[in-house]
Parts: sequence; structure tokens; C-alpha cells
Amino acid sequence: MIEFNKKSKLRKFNPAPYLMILPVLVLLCIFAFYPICLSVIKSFYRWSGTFDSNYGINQFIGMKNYVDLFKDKVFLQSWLNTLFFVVSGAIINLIFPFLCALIVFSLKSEKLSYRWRVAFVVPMVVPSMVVFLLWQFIYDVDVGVINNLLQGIGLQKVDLLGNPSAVKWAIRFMGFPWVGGTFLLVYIAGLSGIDNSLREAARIDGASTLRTVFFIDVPLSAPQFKMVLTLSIIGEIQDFVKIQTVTEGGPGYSSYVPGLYMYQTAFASNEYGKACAIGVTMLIVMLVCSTLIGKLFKTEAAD
Amino acid sequence: MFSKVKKWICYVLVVVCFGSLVYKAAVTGNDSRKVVLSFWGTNLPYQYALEYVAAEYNKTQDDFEVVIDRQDAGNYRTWMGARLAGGNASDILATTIVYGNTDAANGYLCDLSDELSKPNPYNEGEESWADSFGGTYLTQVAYAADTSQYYCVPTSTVSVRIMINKDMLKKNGVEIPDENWTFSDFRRICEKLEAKGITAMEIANAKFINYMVSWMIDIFMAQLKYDDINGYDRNTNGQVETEEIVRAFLDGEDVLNLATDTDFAETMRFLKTWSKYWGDGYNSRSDTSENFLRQSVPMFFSGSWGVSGVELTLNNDNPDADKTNPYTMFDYVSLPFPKLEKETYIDADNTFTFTNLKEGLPFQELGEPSGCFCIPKSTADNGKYEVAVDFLKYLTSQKGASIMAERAYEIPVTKGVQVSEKMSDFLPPENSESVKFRFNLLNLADGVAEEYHFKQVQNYLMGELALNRKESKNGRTDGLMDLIQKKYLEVTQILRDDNEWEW
Amino acid sequence: MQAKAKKRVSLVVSNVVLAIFLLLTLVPVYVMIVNSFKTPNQMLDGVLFFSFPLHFSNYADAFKRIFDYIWNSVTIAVVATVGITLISAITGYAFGHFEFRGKKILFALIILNMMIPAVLTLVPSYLVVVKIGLYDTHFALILPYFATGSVMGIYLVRGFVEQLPKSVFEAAKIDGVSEFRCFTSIAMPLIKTILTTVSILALLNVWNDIVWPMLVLEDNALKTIPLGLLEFNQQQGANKGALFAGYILASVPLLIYFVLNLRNFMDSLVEGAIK
Repeated sequence: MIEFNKKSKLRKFNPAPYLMILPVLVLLCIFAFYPICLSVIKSFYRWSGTFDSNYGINQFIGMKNYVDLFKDKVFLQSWLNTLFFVVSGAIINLIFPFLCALIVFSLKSEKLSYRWRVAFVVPMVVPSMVVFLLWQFIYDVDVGVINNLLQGIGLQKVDLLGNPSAVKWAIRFMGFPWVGGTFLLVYIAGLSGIDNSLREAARIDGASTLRTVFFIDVPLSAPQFKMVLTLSIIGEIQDFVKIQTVTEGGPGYSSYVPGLYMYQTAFASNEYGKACAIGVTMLIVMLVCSTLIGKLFKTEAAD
Repeated sequence: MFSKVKKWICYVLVVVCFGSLVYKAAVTGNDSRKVVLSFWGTNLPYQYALEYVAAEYNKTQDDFEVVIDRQDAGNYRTWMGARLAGGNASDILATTIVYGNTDAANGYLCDLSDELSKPNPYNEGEESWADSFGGTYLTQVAYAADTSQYYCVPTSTVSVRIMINKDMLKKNGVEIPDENWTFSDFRRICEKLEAKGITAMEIANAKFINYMVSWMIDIFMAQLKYDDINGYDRNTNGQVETEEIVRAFLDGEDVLNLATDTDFAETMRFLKTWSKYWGDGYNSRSDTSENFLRQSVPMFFSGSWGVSGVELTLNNDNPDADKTNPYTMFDYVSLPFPKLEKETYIDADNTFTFTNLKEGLPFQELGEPSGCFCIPKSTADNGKYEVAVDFLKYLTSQKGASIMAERAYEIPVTKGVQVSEKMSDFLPPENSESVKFRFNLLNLADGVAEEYHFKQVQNYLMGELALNRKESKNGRTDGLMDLIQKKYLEVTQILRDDNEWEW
Repeated sequence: MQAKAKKRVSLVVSNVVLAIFLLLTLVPVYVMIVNSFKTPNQMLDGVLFFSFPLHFSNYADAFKRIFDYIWNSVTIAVVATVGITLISAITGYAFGHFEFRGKKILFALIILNMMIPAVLTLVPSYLVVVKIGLYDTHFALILPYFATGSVMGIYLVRGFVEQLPKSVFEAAKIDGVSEFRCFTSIAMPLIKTILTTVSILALLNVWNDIVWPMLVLEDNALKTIPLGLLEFNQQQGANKGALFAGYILASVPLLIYFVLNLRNFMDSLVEGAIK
């Protein structure tokens, strides 16, 4: 049967899929592939960002950008910070939205369940820029909400964004309890996709709710976990607008991240070549991460 | 029924949006009559004043219209750099000496030296436009690599001061200090206020854009290394420029070494000791004027550009000002920085002996030309060079400069222009000297290095970083001074090689 | 009897946990609402609770300042979302439904874009936009959004289409239905659920984008809402209350969209759950 299918495909050429893919490919070539290639090539250059050969610097220097970066303490520190954000972000995004999704999904009343979903989706209408600025205001050392609260109950005010040991946690806690987002929807969509007869069967066999969750809901949500994990890690590695808005990587370099370093290197120092090299290292890390995730979930599925 | 209505609403919305998009694209093409001037900042009075000057200018023009465009401050350099690289920058761009030098080196800007040697038609009785600038303001903006070329023109200068709420000091029984106050006076005021539970002064040190500590370092160093710095200013134009900074670090046997420099060590140690008077949480504060305006803090460290912000809230000329607000009705004064003394006493543990201190100098904090404007080459390609230059001439003429001084509290650099009454105490004292050497990795065309300085000083002030190797925990780790010196060497060596400087 | 009581307890616990989650999620929203009614003076009395009288004039102030930005964002978001959804549907369907030569490579090529840090392509993309003359128009935003925004959608739609039973399409083909009809009348209704998600994700991304509009838009009349808010936030002597009111106004268009579409969106999810 399979053999036959293959033969028939070879015999008859169908242009439809190619035509359907063409528009997005053209757009991607212009706005993604060309810029990416340029970035990768220029990461081996000292480049001041110009295309005109008459001025600016455009000089091939081999691996020097990369060698410099790995000797650069700021770069290494920024990766350590990112490691913190990636790991904590992954844990948060795997647990909290899933927990919330499970509870919402477990509600017997259709109406109630629906209302909770609505309630958790609505806060997403606030633009992310506003969310950043609001959290900055919440943490503000002089007029912030937290310090207003602390002073109200007669405590000393705290400087969350100006303290190198607290700042990463403060940034991590932005958006607490991290449930009102797209990940919640992804999980709910996943749970809805699980065949309910499995749960029924388990219940008839006398399995407790907890067991049903662990042996049916969690394993069968693997595709969602994989997706959330991938998106969360990639997002954490490349997100710098949040940190730039709230702390600019400070105090010191205690919340600095590679994305911010790349942005500064390109636009504040005009070292586009070096910035491209930072971007390429980020790209490699992301590729490695997602490959590992793919492997992880594949072996689990095989078990 | 309802879903059908909704469907149609959606279709209409999509069509309207698409139509609006196409319409906007058609309407806002590149208008060959418009000359766009872009600047950055959050300073509304400055914008209004510029718009007023442009409107006055446009009255005299038939073929062109000058349009003022304000850009977001934090991202201006990004925006401007990308725009220049893409060859589609605004016709006139606000810039700084450092940006100007970088962009000129990249070949993005028009050389204005020819124009500067011609007279400015909006002024009378002058040989050339260049003559109309007071002091050394014009020579300071000369192109670093070739001082016969000019890629930007200055419109104003800035200074840094301490703003004091007079009412609040009086209420707390503190005498208002005068211009000759010293750090001992300052400390006494702080102690008196803190005894009453009031934070005496606030400093913002959260973001690079308000790196006030850098000005303090420069002011202290200018007084402690007075003779050395004069030596570094080899062309004696009153400013240690990029090449001179590079030479200071690389040329000759007696080069500047911040890792072992005792004056630098004293300055940093002094700042750290003094930082206990900056108000808790200064490393995460990005706006000090707020608490000053609320009268919860009587003093704050401010640049002359901060006056317009204060005035905007207090000033009765401002229709938006909240006149019923009791918090913002008070009398204020601005004073120069307190003077250092050879024996500056801070507390029981810390008395500073500034052995190399040059006393009695009337120092003007900052005092470099600011409000610089440049004209990108793309302007000339679009045939707008003439009118762009003409507008800059108008802006820096006595008429234009006095509008800016009166309405935006600018300190003009054009000869014969009166400064606004409110700014009179911001005027540099007579025979004053401006800070010549910026010790913050500034003026080396490397924004990441500038940020590095800011962040390492932050680390030092927080106690995350030792002052130098000797004071570090194990005696081997680099301290602040070592790191700064290393960065200086790295950046200056690149600049020397790129420019093929040989001395 | 016992089982019933147990069930009731678990229901109460579930609701309480969700309520706590929700309340914590809404803290910033609460802060935003409370402070949007304050004069600078009232701000001093604390930022935790309402201060009376409420100052609705903040909203009028904010509206005057940011309406243009909101309209710009709305036009861009609507056009970009429609485009992204259509492209995702078509391309995702092609990948999920057909077997063709080079499918794996092409798909990998497209999905690779999910791992490209946006900043990496910022400068070259900018130069491309300038070269093809789109600079300082809304098309400079929309076309790159079409390209990079659809990647995620393609990924989602393909996953969904692959799970659809092939038999439906095969039956149609035997009946002689064309490929085009196959897509519009069989596939489209089936993938509607996932397309809603795609459109919402796309809308959120477009609505929240900051860096790219900052680079390609120069004209004040064209700027989008995050740029407008950033500017508003930085103005010296700005009325903080009006700023918070501005934050709320900036959230209104999306709120309207959600309210109008929520039932559709939720129903489709619920339906999926029942089946």
C-alpha cells in the first residue's frame, strides 16, 4: 500500500502545494533569509553597518569576534543571567499555566469553566509595553505599589530593582502568577483534545483524580509541553525589550542579557559585525536547546 | 442574526483599515517641500520653542517648510544610526559632538566649514557665521580627525547644578547656602535634615541616560588633575578630544594610568563615601525631580535642561500646570556643586586629604556645546542642503537663539544673546573653566564602553566590586580602577589603529 | 453521600484556587485603573486605593494624546492579522495535507525562523525595507509581519491538519472536487478553531511589537501605540494619572475584539473538549 502511494506520487506532479507555499517563501526570502545570511556572513567581519564600500569599516577578521566574545566577562555574565531566566521561565511555564488549565478543565459545570477561561484570557488585552511599565511602577523605590504597601504597614521600603541579588527575581516575578497567557490556552486546547473515554475508563477502573492527571493528562499533553518548553526557552533567550524597559540590565550587569548586549553593540557602538556574532551564538544556543527538547520528547514517546 | 451583523462589521472594518492604510501611504509620501528637523528628548518647552522658531522661519520662506519632529530619547541613537546608514535620515538631525565625529568618520554628514566662513545673513556686522559663536563653543565641535572641518553647529550649552527648595530648608531651620558652599557646608545641611528624618538629596543612577555620577567624577577630576588635564589638551582648544584622549593613554612615557592613579582612587572613594547622602535606592531611581516637586526631598542634582521640567510644573505660563497643587508651590534656587577643600571631612571614619587639589577655581560643570545639529549627506542629495543650512543660520542667529533662551530656558552660545532670567544662576561664572576631560569612556565613539563605565561604577558603589586589586577579597581580582584602565586601553588602541594616528 | 460531599469540597477548592490566581493576575490591572483617576496631588496619598473625587478628565487628556496612535495600531493590526491568518491557513494546509518533494526541507526552512532572534535581522531587514521603498509607510510593518508572523501559524495549522482524517479529503477527491474547493469548503471549516488561535496570537504579537516600528516609522502621524505610550511616559512634567488612563485606553481596542469574539473562541474549545 505504501509502495503504491509512493509510486503514484512520483508519477503525477501536483503543483498545488508549491503554489500555496510560494507567497510566504518569497516574503521570507526578502525579510528573513537574506537578512539572516547577511548576519551570519558579517559575524566574521568588523562591520560598521554600511553597504557603501567608500566609507565605514568592512573588514574580514575571521573568528575574532567570537574569540573576543568568549573572553568578554560581560558576555559570559549575560549568558548566566539568561540561564537563570530560561530555567526559571521553563519551570514556571510548565507548571503554573498547566495547573490552572487542569483546574479549569476539571470543573464539571460548563458555564463555570467557560467563565474562568474568559477571566484568564481577558488580561491579555493589556499591551505588553503597558505591562512592563506597570510592573516597573509596582517595583518603584519611591512611589511604587510594593513600597506603598510596606510603608502602610510600617515596614522599611525595599529596593527591588536596585539590588543585584533581588533584581533577577523581581523581573522573574513580573506577571505573577504567570497563568493569564497564551500558554494557558495551549494547555486547555491540549486537554480538550484528549479522548475523554480514556479518563472515563480510568475512573471506572477506580483511579483517583491525581492518578488520572499523572497517567493520562500529563503524558498525553506531551506535545503541548514540548511546544510550551520550546517557545518559552526561545522567548526567554531573545526577549530583551522587557529588561531594557524595566532595568536596562542593571544594576551593574546583574540583569543584563545577550539580546540587550547585541542591541547595544549594534546601535550604540556601531559594531554590527560583533553584534551579528552575538546573534549567531544566540541562534546556535536556541537550535541546540530545541534539538535537545525534540530528542527528549521523542525518547519519552518511544517509551 | 447577530453573528451575521458581526461578520459584516468585520468585513467593513477590514476594508476600512485597508483603505486607511493605502490612503495614509498615498498621503505621506516623501514631500520634497518639507525640511524635517529631528531631535530627541522629553523636554516639551524645548519642542514648543523649536516649533515656534520654525514657524517664524517658515513665514519668510515660499518654497520650503521646516517641520519639527521629536523622537524618543532612549532610542534616538539607534534610530539615527539606522537612518543614516540607510541614507534616509531627516534633513537636519540633533546630535552630540561624539555622535557627530562618528557619523562624520562614516561619511554620513555634510562638511559645514565653507558655510561657516560665509556671513550669517540673519546677523549684522559679522565677517562670518563662525564669528557669531561665543567662547570656544564652535572650535569644540570641530571634527576630531581634521579640525579644519565642521560637521555640526552648536546652539546652546548646558551646566549641572544642585536645585534647592528654599522653603523646605527654611522650614527646617537650615540656612540657604550661597555659591561658595563647600562639602563641609553640604554635609552639615544633610546631617541637620537627616536628624529630622528627611532625605537631604536625591540622585538617580538607574539608567545610563541619567548617569549623574559621571558629571561628579569629571568635576572632581578636573580639580584634582588640573595641570595634567591641561597637558592633555595639546591643541589648547579647551576640550580634550578623541585623539587627545587616545594620546593621553598611549603616547609617551608618562601616560595616564587610571589603575594606579591616586587622584582617581580618591575621587571614587570620595563618591562612595558621599553616596550615603543620595537617598536609598538611588540605583533604581530614574527620576529625581518628582520627589523634589512633591517637596519630599529638598535638593536634587540636575542639569540645566531639568529647569524646564520643574518650570513646567511650577510655572504659571504653563496652561496645563496644576495651580491648585500645594505641593508644587515653592521657591527654589540652583547652586553650583559644593567646593572641595584640601581637608574634606565626611564622618568620623573618613577625612579626605586632596593633596593635588587646585583650589579656588570657578568651575563650570559640563559647559560643553550641546544642542548640536548636523546635516546628513542625503539632505544634499535631495536638494535641500541650502535651505537646511539657512535654517541652522536662522536658529543660531541672535533672533533664533533668544527665542530658544526665552522659551526653552536654553543657555545660548551665540554672542550677544541674553539668557532667560530663570536661568541666570545657571550661567557660567565669569572666567570659569569648563570640564575638559570626560573620564567616563565618553567621546570615544563607543556606546557599549560608556555603558560599561556606568555599570562598573554602579557595581563599585553597591560594593559588588573592589576599588582596585589590592582591596579585592583575594588581592588578585581586578577592581574598578583596573577594569576602567583596561577598557580605556582597549578602546583607545582600536581608535589609534583605525585612524592610523602616529605621534 | 460521601462522594458527593467530596465533590463539593473539591469544587470549592478549585474555585478558590482559581480566584486567587485571577486576583493576582489582575493586580497590575487594578493598579492601572485606580491610578488613572488621580490628580498628581492625589497620587501622593498613596497608589493603592481610589482617591475621591475621581478625575475623569484624565481620560479626555489621554484620549486626545493617543487616539491617532491607537487608530494606526488598529489598522496595522487588522490588516496584518487577516493576512497572517490567511497565509498560515494556506501554507499550513499545504504542509499538512499534501505529500510532495522537498516538503521536509521547506518546512524546516520556514520553522527555522522561529529560532531566529529578531534583533539579528533588524539592521539588514531595515535596509531591505529602505531599498524597496517601503520606508516610513505602514507597509514596512505589514509585509515583514506577513512573513515572520505566519511562521508560528503555519506550525500550528500544519499540526492540526495532519490530525484531520484523510478519508474526508479522499472521498471528496473521488467525487472530483478540485484542490481549491477542497481547501475552501472542506479544510477551512475544519481548521477554523486553530485559525482563531492563530489570529489571536498574531494580533497580540503585532499589537505589542515595539522595536521594529521604532526603526521604520518616522512620521509622527504613522506611529503605533507602544511608541506613543513610551513617548507619553517620558514627557517631563506629564500627568501620571493621564498616563495610566492612556494605558487603559490602549487596552480598549483589544478588549472590544475579545468581547466580540470570545464566545466563538471559547465555544470552539469547548466543542473540541466534548468530542
